[in-house]
Amino acid sequence: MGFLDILRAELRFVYADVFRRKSVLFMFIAYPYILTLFILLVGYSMGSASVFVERVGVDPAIFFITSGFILMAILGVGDDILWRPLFDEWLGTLPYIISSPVSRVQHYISIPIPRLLLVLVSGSTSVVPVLLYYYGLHGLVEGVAIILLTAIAAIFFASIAMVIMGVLYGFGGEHWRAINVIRPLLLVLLGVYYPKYLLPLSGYIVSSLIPSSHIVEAIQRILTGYNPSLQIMFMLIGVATALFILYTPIGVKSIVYWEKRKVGEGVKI
Amino acid sequence: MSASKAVFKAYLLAELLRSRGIVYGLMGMILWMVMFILPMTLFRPQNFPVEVMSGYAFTAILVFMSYSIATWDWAWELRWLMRANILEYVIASGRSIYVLYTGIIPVSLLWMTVAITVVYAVLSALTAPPKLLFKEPLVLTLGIVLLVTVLFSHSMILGGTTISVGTSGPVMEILGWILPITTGGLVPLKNMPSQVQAIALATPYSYPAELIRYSLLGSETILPLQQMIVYGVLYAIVFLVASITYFNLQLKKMLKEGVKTVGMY
Repeated sequence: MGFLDILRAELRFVYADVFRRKSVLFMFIAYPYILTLFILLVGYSMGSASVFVERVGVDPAIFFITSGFILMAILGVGDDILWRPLFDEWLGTLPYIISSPVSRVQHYISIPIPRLLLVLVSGSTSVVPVLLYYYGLHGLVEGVAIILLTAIAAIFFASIAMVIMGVLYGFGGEHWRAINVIRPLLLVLLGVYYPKYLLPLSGYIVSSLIPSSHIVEAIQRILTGYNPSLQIMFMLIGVATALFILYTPIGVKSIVYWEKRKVGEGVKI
Repeated sequence: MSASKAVFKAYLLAELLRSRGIVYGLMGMILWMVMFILPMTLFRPQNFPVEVMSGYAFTAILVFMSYSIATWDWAWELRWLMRANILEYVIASGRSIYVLYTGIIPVSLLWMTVAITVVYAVLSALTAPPKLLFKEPLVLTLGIVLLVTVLFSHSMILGGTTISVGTSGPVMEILGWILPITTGGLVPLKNMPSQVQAIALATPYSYPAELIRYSLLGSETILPLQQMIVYGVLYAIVFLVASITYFNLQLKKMLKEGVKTVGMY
């Protein structure tokens, strides 16, 4: 069974679920708006949009709708990779998956793709309309660029998620507790809601080790107009790509390690 | 009583003590807080006292966390029991299903107490110690009692729907975000658009939140205080009776039709 067959199976599995449960589909569209509303309401109650514009350089509605979209894309990839082994374990399907004659690495690479595609399409109902409203046609171009960059950020996040997944599950214990800490930690460090360049230096350095954080910075530079030259953009994408290339083999080894541990443990009842 | 004790012990161990659950839980909560609070600080003008902003954030988190507990600890628990095939055993034991709640609610309140202390500490570290006035402590006590009552009723409605149709995670998530926003859980209603004010006042959720904010922040309530109290108490009682009736009906339905099969999420 090749990668495309596995991907096709994953696509069918996820889309059948999403289109059967319309609430999931609705959530994809509504989430960026809900998160934006949440932050704006609390933010406006204790301050004003003009202060935000002065500090960040862009209208908060634009900034947070984009942040919500990026968050959905990256979190979707991270969650799919980090939670799937647990869901399979709880449902009792993990032994069947481990004993199936497919490459575990290919399987885990294929897992986040269906949901990511869906989230990217949902950019046309969140980022694009808001940017169109604010900037007209220029906003459409910017919106498409943001969607493409978000796709790269989310794909690059898969490498680090694979590393964490393999190591965490390989060591055993109650993984879900640790995942519940790692998820928000990674999101804080990505700088999605609070630009990386506003973090303290130590935070900035740790954040820079995550490939996707550089792409998020590129998107924020486009939005805020903070030195969005082509040179800087290519440099950020280049650093992110280099880190992705560095982490991917470690991620692959990490999943193989986890698989070996599972086979060694046998089926637990 | 013995069943209540057993459930309490089981949840205390599973949720807070086993595998340092409380430590991981608090760490996760702090990080989520940091993620959402940091951007909110970017709205604060220089002349707006930072401790007042911190107080606003504190009450918003307090109310939001209470909603989350009602949704994910109290209502969603039934779905977990269904998924793990335990609900059948609970029913077959002949005990009331409410025994579960006598165990879960104290654990949740214990968690909430610890969590809110940590929230205070984190806000103090990130911004400034929240400025809390504790004006008219009786109003604060009433606000908290009403909030627990309303949220228990909320969990009965969600839980009833869950055992009846197997409500999915996304529905719960949407409600978990939308409700605190639209019912005035996060921000004093006076600061909200008039449409949201009207929606919020039509629900029982807004009254306890307004009373708590009145006492902690000294913010003016949208209706005169006495009216807020009278309407809040009446609405909470009606909501509680209606939700328990609804839950019992769904329980009866489930006993006739059998426990639903639910997916992972």
